Parts: sequence; structure tokens; C-alpha cells
Amino acid sequence: MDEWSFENVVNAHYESLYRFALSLARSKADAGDLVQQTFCRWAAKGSQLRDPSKAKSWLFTTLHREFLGQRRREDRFPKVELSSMAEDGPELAADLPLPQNQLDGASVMAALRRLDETYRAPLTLFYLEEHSYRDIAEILDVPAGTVMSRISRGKALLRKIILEKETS
Amino acid sequence: MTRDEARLILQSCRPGGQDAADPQFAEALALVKQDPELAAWFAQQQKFDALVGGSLRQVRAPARLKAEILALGKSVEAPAESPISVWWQKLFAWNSPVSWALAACVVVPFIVVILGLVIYLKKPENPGRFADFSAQMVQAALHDPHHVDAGASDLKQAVAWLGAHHGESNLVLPAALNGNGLMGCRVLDWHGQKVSMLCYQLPGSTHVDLFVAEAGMFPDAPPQDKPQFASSAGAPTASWSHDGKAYLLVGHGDAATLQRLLSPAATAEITLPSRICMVFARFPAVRKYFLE
Repeated sequence: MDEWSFENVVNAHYESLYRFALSLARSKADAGDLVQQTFCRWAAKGSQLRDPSKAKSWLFTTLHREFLGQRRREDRFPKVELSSMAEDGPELAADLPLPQNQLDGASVMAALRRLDETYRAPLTLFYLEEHSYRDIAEILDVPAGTVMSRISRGKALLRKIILEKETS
Repeated sequence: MTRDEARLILQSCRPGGQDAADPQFAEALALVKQDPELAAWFAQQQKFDALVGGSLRQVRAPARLKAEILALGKSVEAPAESPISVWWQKLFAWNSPVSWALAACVVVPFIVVILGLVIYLKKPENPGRFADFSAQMVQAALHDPHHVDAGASDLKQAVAWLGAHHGESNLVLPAALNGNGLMGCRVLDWHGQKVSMLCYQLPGSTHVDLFVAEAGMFPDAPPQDKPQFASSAGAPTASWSHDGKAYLLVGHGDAATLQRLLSPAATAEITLPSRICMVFARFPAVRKYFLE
């Protein structure tokens, strides 16, 4: 069986891609769309990738570019689906203040999404633990030193947000 | 590496240990082992990172998403390559002769231009006219506190020293300057070209300095074998060329002294070392001027 068949690539990466997409997008639906579009591009162009080991990096880079492209379009034609936001609200807002040892996925995602996107994207990729800072630099198309400083600053902000949530 | 620098770097070190072998982190991790305060901070960071990372990985994609993506994948097929694109890809493949020929068309002229530029930039600059050279050497002779580099009374030794310091050493000297009264020598720089200087204290408190440079440097090199007397900055000078060398004699007294030194009557049979000085016998014109 082809290790790099479409199904295998989806199985290997769609969960991580979804987490990254969810940290970037406004809603779960948007995150799902981003992941679908990314794999759609993979289905059409993935076979052109000369080095299969670059598939993961290619997918995350493509998803990030897709997100940036969508955001540019939305900036021109803003559209907010209220029902979608309401659906995501309770899960992502993490109403319950949690101490550090009781953090869960939703509360972390909520905290991440309060960060500016400048810090959110590198920090999410960092916490997925699948990418070195050099990989992150390649995915986001920024210098490695910039990634380091954004991770550092982003962590401080994230910690502050989590602590604020604990004390509120 | 300071503690703050280590902290910045270590912030990007994943808690799972995946980056332990990365050379970028090696120095910072070594510092952690030596610095207990940094170690405590790093342990706390890693704990926080592990907590956040673990929580983030709890987020699950909706089950239906995977099914939708797989269904989508089946409906999206890679577009068949048109004959035209295949033709283009074959034509411009990295190993096709056309690609190499095109690359050569770009690279070869580029290399030629770069080489031309290098040669042009390396070409020695035109140092200027002999009059400028003369003026600067007169200044060096009269006012430079660092008058000679090496004291020497033996002409052979002085010329050997000049040769060793990349100065002109193949000299043909007038008889009056064949070594008597030699005080020292020096190598000067004139627009990147080396100039030899010999300093003489001749009988009668006559101080003269002789400068020798490549005659080809000057578009207005002095006349061949016939001293031309002049003055510069109040100092009398005599200049001539011989065998591709330009000679400039600068006097610290009056002009008559130079004329006397270079007059045929003052010249006698020259006994300069064979390696460094060409005997006048080999150059009839010089011999004729100085000895007849």
C-alpha cells in the first residue's frame, strides 16, 4: 500500500491540521473548510511534490496560505455567521476558570484564539510539537529568529491570559 | 551566551525532547546544566509547555470531517497533463540540452562581465605625472621626519635591503653616487607602486636623496640618460630615465651642487656591484654622458 496515498496522508495529518486551522479560523466550520481545501489542493497537486517527506510541511504551509487568502477576501467582504459563532461559543470560550493542572483542549484553544494572529500561528504550531522552530519558519514564511521571538512573546501573553482566566 | 539569550532560545525548545539534538539549543542547554536558576526556570517552562501542548492535542477534529475529506479526495483527480505541458516540461527539464544551452546563454555572458569588471578594477591606476611624483618626493626628502628606513653605508647592502622590501633594486647610478657617503635607504609608496630612496651625505656637507621608480608609471617620464635640472618647493632636483627606471635626485643645498655631482667631470669609473648595477659599459649612451 502506498504510504503517501491520499488516505494515508489524511490519516497522518488531518487532526493536527484541524487544530492549527481551529486556532486560526473564526469557527469550527471555517476550520473544517480550511482543512478540506488544504487536502483538496493536496489531491490535485500533492503528487508533484518531489520529496514525500515534505508532505507535512507542505500541508501546513498550504493551510496557512489558504487562511491568509481567505482573510484577505473577508476583509474586503466581511461576513459573520451568527449561528456558527453561537454554536462555537461555549466550547471555545472555556467558561470555567481552570488552574494550570486542569487545562483542557477547549480552554487552551480559547486562550490561543485571544492572542493576536502574529503570535497565535507560531505558538499553535509549537504546541502541536510536530514542527521545529525552523519548520515553523518555513511554514509561516518568516525568519527563524522571528519565530523564536514570537514564540517567546506569545507564550508570555498566553500565560497571562490563562492566569487571568484562573483568577476571574 | 547570557542567561537572557539562553531563555529566548530555550522558549522554542519543545518539551518532548525532540530538539535536544539541535545544535541551536546545545549551548543553551549546556548553560542550563551550569546555572541552577536557569534550570529551575526551564523546568517550569517545560512543565507549562507540556501542559498546554497536551491540552491542545486533546482537541479532536469532527469525525465527519475525515469522511468528507476522503470523499472529496476521490472526486478530485490530479488534472491530466496536456501534451503541450508535457512537451514544455521535457524541453526545459533540468537535464535537457535546451535547458543547459539556455543556462549557458545566461551564465557565460555573466561570467565574462564579472571577469571584465575584476580585470578593470585590478588594473593599476594611473599614478599621475612625473611632476607630481617629483613634488611629493621632494616633500618626503625635505620634511618627512622618518627620513630613512634602514641606515646603510654599503651600497650593496642597501640595494639588497631595497630588493627585500619590494623596492627598485636594479639601479644604474652616477659615479658620484656609487656608494660613497651613503647614509641609508627607504622604500616609499607612490599610488601603490614602490619607490626606492638612497640617502647620501657627500663630502662638503652635501646632502642628496635619490629616488628611483618605474618610468612606465609616468606619461611624462624624464628624458633618457640626460639629467633635467629643475627645482621643487625650493629644492634643486635632477631627473633622468634609464633602462625603464626614472631617477630623481633631490638636493638639500643649491642647484650647483647637483650639477657638479652629475657633471661629466665628476664622474669616474664606476665600481658598482654587478648584480645590482649595470656597468656603464653595457649602456654606451650613459657611459658617453657621464664618462666622456
